[in-house]
Amino acid sequence: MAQFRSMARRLAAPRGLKVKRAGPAGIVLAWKAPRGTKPAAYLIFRDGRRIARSERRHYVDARAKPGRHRYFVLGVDDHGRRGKHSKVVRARMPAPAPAPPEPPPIVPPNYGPTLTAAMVDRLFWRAGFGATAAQRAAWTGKGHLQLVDWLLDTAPSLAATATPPLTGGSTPNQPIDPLASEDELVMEWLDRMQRAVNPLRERMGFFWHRHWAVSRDAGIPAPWLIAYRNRMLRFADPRLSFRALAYEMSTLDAAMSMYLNGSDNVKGRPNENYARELMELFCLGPTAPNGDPNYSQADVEGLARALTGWRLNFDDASPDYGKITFNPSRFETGAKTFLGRTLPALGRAATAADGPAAVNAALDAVLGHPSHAPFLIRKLWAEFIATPIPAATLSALVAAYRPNAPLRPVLRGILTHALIFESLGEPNLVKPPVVYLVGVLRALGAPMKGNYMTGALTNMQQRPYRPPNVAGWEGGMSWLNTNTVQGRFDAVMRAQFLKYSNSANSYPRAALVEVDGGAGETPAALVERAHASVGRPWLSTGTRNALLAYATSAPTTTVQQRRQRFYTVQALMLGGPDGQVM
Amino acid sequence: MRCIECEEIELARVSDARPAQTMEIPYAALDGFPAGRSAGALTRRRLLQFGVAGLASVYAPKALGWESVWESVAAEAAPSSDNCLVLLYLAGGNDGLNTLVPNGAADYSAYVDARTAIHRLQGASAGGVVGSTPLAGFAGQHLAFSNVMVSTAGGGDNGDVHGLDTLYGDGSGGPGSDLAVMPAVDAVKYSLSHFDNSDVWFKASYDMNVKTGWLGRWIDSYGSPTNPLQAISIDTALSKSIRTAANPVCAIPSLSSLGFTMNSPGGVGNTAVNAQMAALAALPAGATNAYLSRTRTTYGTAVETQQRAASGPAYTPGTGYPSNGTLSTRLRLAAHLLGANLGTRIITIHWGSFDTHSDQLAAQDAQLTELSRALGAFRADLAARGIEQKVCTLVFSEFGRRVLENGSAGTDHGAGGLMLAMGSSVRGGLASEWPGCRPQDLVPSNNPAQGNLKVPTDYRSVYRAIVEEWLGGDPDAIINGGTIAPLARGDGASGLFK
Repeated sequence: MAQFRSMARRLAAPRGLKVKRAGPAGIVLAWKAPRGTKPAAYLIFRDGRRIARSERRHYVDARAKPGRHRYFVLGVDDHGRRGKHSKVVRARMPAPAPAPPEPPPIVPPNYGPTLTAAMVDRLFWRAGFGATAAQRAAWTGKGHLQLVDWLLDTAPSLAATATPPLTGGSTPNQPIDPLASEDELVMEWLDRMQRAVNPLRERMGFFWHRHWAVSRDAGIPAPWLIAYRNRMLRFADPRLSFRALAYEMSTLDAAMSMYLNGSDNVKGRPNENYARELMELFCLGPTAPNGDPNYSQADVEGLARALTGWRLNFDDASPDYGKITFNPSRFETGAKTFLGRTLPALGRAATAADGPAAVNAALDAVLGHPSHAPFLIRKLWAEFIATPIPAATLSALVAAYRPNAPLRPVLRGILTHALIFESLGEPNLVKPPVVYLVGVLRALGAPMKGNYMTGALTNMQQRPYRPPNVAGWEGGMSWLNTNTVQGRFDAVMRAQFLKYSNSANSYPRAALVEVDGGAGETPAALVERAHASVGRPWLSTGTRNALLAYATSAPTTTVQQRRQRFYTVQALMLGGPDGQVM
Repeated sequence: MRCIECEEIELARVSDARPAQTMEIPYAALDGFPAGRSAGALTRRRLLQFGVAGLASVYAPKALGWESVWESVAAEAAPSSDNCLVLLYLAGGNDGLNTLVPNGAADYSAYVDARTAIHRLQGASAGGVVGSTPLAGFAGQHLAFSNVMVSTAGGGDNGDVHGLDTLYGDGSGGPGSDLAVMPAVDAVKYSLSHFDNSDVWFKASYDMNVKTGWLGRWIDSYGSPTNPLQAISIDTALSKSIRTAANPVCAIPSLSSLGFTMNSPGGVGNTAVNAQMAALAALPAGATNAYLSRTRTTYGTAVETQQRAASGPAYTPGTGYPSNGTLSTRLRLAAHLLGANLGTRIITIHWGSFDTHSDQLAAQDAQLTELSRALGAFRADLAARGIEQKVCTLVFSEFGRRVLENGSAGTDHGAGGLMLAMGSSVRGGLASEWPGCRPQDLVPSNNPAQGNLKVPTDYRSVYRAIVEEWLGGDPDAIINGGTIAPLARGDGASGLFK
């Protein structure tokens, strides 16, 4: 008698398969038994492959890779014959959570080389506007790295003041409004610098202004300039990346758009101004160190085409005045080639997404250029340290730098470098006019009024919001000519006037601030008092001797003469050659 | 018993005069002669002149050694002169084509086609459109002065007795022909970027690392190690053209603002502290501390500038200038300084802006009128002071502008600017080749939208003429960039000076 295979019908499909949960621990599937004959077990399939056998009606797939998967199940009888398979369900396995960050190593409160008073002064000058007596006292004996981290990480704030800047001119002694006049616009920024608790944020904000230069000379409306300035200050935060700043300058900043004709750059009539300066001045420099050009005219043209379409609203009656919007109809849809990349022709009308995509592609190319990192790092280094960056340091910082990562490691690498303390006994970096002037104001505790300080900055040739051209201020030795050094001395005259005088044009006060130390004050005591009155700045031995010689020989019979002696010693300390270096 | 020559030298030294003898000194008579040099051109007169016995300079960063002595002496390629140069820079790219208007039939026709809104007429001004007056003599077939720069007697509109036409005279290069016009001059590898190209003109170098100006290098080679008034920028900024490596120069915006003065609250009134500042400036800085060293030097130079200027005659400004505007004020001061016998050889004036991207006529016409009147008044001022024959005024801009006007009644940056040289010692006339402005003459050719003037004349050729023929010295040593072609005049004559 023959054995016949069972003619039993195939098992039916399991019913109601569903994904109960899709979490990092696994994808949980559950289903119901089919109608009719119950299977002995179930087979579970992921993406068409059998992954498991289960005698229960649920399964946890913990080994799926992150991403989408398709699952079905089917039953098997005790002969192993497969039934019909269930419907297919889809589930997504989430990416595993990132490992929690390593807790910062426990370090003692003072870390890094111990700071002497001279080192504290050096750091507060190079990264600020000089140390107050309180800062010098607080940080002497602490660690170098600790102070650098404080400068990098402390959020910006402004100390309160009893002597805010006031207007001059025909409506004097009013609080200033930066939108009301040129002088008030500049004083508002100087006031921030004078009162900044963490000066590095202000220094970095001004560095970005020098770097992404725009000028009021082009007629940029004051509100757009202030918005630009606030952006520069926001990106002074070292947690932000250079790329994020470059993206905003290319698509959001009204002042930059107006200054370099971003809005004029449209399909069919490309304007190359911003594309050229983006490479030449902001990101790459014109040539690599070996002299090879970093880009060609064709690259400028291609890049300009990629940056088309960002329209600036110039209508001052509109609520969107000063706002930049990407306008697809102004976007160049043809192919664009620059720096070895080609964005193919769209082959269709442009849409809103094409603008940001093209800007991102442009920034990928520009910031991915090998000349970018050394160019930016050299410039940052030169802001803080006189000696040119050593080759090994440049390599290390280039390796640490990522355009789309926080700038902090680069800044920290510069400010913690031993060379920041070079020539500690005789400062060797010239103070740019703005740094010098804010230093004078802080040292004297002088208030501001009218156009005294803006006039001083004009004489010294660094007026905020008015760099001479799109390359910013040349800096370095160019700060020093026979006229500008007179301007630096004269700036101290102005600050002394505002600090001490009770004339109608000066800061309002009831009486002249008395600086006479009395007829019995010795020359040495006078010099010491004048020195203390401006926070005991560095002076060379030769200067101290010369000042003592002057104080000894100056007439002191009348109170006017004694006052003059005090002012002269104070002014020679702050506004003479020694006061110009940090 | 000394030789006659040594006797002569001793007598001359004692009586503080130059010796009559100029005989070559045998090599062996000199101690420590620099290697590789020959006694060839060295004369006693020159050695005395430069003070062999240790001239220590307060302002040069190193004391003069034999190298410097040799260089000072050997540099006397030309006889010593006291010719002066006034460098007037029109900032922003002055439009040469609306200053010196194309006049030949085909050129003028192309010019009108390209500039429907902003062209000049030929002949008298009419209907609110400025006319043009052909240059006298040979050059008139090519070029005409825009009437805003032409004197009243010449039929022009500048309202003055002096104009470019009166300076130009008959254009023959003889007496009275005292204005050389040089159209289409630029760098061979020019850039259309303001600060790029102006840097090239100021530095006479393409090298970004060169920081000195071409005239600064002239001062370093042939100038004084102690007198900052030898080169003056009449401005708050020092012109890049006179930046030096070693010798002192200065920036003087006005004579009343020199030196260090205090006027303190409740003090004793105006008090100069120049002596105290000089004491601080004289302190030596550490050997590697370039910034402090330069800072102290500059303070010292500022005091020196004030003292020397104060030692000169009181300021007596000339009359006849068109206004109290920037250009006239600065030229007035320039004339005084040049006449004050303070050792000034070079003056720079920057004036602008000429960057006329829109509404060109409104801005440029007023400036050109002022320029023509001020130049005439300046020349008369120099003549009244008896120094006109030793001053050459060189006017230039960092580039020209495109032939085709833009859509805003203005022009965009172009190649080939206009230079002018003025002075009775200048050989007037057409001193460079006029390349024409028909579409086929432009670069790129037959491309009216992008076409710029061809540039047959390298600006360095003009600089070479200034150095060789006027200031004295070796042009190749101070103007970088290889061989410099001599200036090829458009009228076939030779030389920029009479």
